[in-house]
Amino acid sequence: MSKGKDKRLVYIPGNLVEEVKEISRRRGESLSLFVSEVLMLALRANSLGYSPKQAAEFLEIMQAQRNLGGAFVPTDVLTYLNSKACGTEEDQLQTKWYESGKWHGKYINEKFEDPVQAFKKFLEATRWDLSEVEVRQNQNTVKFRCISTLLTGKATELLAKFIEGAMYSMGYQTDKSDALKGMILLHFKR
Amino acid sequence: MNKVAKESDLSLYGFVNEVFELTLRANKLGVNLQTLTDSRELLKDARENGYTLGLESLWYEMADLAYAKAKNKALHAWFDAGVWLAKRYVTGETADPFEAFNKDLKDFTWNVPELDVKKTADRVSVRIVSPRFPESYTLLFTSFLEGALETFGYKIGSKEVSRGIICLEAVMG
Repeated sequence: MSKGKDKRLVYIPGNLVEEVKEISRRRGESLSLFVSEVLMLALRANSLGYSPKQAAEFLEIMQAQRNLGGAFVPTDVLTYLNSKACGTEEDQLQTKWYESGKWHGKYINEKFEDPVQAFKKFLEATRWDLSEVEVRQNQNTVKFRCISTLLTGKATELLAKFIEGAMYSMGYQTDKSDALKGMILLHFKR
Repeated sequence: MNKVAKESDLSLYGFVNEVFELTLRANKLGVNLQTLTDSRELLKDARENGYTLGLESLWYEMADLAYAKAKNKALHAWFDAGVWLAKRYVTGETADPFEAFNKDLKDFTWNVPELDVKKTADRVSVRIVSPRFPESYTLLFTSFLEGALETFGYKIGSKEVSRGIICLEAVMG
């Protein structure tokens, strides 16, 4: 599998090999070269802390984020837009975040088999201002707990609205909502 | 690979199978495994350089509201954000701070279809075309760029801005 002469034999199900063969053919690479490259990338992903399954999930989340129209904004600008200083009415901002969450949730609900877990992974991957995202899911209830040492009180409330909007699109109603500076506690029921 | 497989509680056979399945899933998404490391790197850089990732439509709507309520304050806030970000590069240890800023700007504006920054000895020209930018966001983003360019020591010579289009010419001075 490496450039060295030492080679090993690993048994792979025939159907997987056929599909991988097809991809390598389309890319104009030999199967052996393609497989070596793929395994090297998998080892790199592993060094970044991703098992193959986690890597696949991360790729799906990032691709969904692009499809949804993900965009970067300078954090200072966002802090300003979230603050009273920009003059926007609080309920207007909350509505925008809620509606945006609804739209996001709708997409995730259509796209992923387990939308609640996908949404959790989305928050973990893209909201680096959150140090902890915990989701407890039972048959008809979901509990969210998000912790951040960076979020302002206003930003915490708006993120909570975003999560509520997303969960609404996944078929959940807010049962309890508590957003303190840097801490979001949300309970939902189906 | 054997070691990595063992660490993940998998046999070599199981690990290679999972990698093959990952390859097929990535292929279905129209990406390859390199995208994983690239995306991870991009998010890390964005976090370190003071950017937040969210939905484009939400940013535009919030910018619209802020611009409508307090235009000058909003323009000032974006200008200051440009100054702050550019200062990170100017005061950092990068060999070519402007080039580093330019590279990051391109990476972090993946939603902008055309972004062209040309730098000659004492001039910089910026051309941005993004049909989805509303007028407010176009003007605020221009202000952000002006703040950054001024921090790099440039003075804005000419400016042509209309909804979704930004053309700036700046001269060192």
